[in-house]
Amino acid sequence: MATFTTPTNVRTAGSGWYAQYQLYNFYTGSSSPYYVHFKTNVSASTEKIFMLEAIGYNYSSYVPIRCAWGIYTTGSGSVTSKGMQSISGLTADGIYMSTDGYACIRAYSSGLYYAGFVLNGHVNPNYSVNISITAASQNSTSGNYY
Amino acid sequence: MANVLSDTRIGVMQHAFSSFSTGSGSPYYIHFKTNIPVSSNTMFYIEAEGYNYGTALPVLCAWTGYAYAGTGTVISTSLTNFYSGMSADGIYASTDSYVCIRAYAGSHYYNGFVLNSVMGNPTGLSFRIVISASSQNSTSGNYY
Repeated sequence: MATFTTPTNVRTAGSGWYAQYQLYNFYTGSSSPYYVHFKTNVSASTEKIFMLEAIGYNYSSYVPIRCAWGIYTTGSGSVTSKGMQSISGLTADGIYMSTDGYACIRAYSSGLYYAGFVLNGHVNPNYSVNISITAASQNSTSGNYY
Repeated sequence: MANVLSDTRIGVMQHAFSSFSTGSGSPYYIHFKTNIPVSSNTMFYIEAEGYNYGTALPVLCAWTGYAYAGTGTVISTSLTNFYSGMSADGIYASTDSYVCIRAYAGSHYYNGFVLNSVMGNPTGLSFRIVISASSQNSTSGNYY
């Protein structure tokens, strides 16, 4: 199961939150289910542009984890994917809006046994936001969970 | 020589916990000795991030593995080069049983990078990693 840790190590520059390291640490001892969903505090009713990246180690496949989600909350009640990229160890699988209007991301791996990673945030300074992860779940939902 | 930067680390991601810079294009290997005991049941992700002027390319490469007490070795390792300015070339145990990593480039002329780590797996969580020694030399195998 997912284990929650306190977001720490947030770094700032200028007036915006440019890079927010270790927003969240996810780790699990369970290889399955294969999807992991994260719900953010970024509302679709505010216009924000940010990127979330996962960095870590997937022991199940013995490879590093590095993938990213580009996210745009339109400010008019929708969340748009601005691109996802998956390099190794974990797949950036989806971006969606929760039923209560917050940006969410979904990750996938065919094995998560002893996987562990951090989520870092990178924010467009013109649309600055202090990101936090409000919920996380490892489950079998390939679509929207929150 | 490696430089230990001001310690701003908290928790799982240890950003820029060490740095390395050199003005010498050769020798081509760089070895780092960590404080991770090979029998500590610690899973690790270590990456180098920077710029190698000698290859005129960005540096982003990673070493991952599991320092496993059951065998007293580092198992389930991987070497990954996200960018090609320098290669993650090897992982080994020092003669006094600590995890070491080795990097390689065809030139290190004015190469400079930081080391980041993510100690985010269930075993070894938040292990506070330190580079205890580093060396640029011509050893393609184990140095420490």
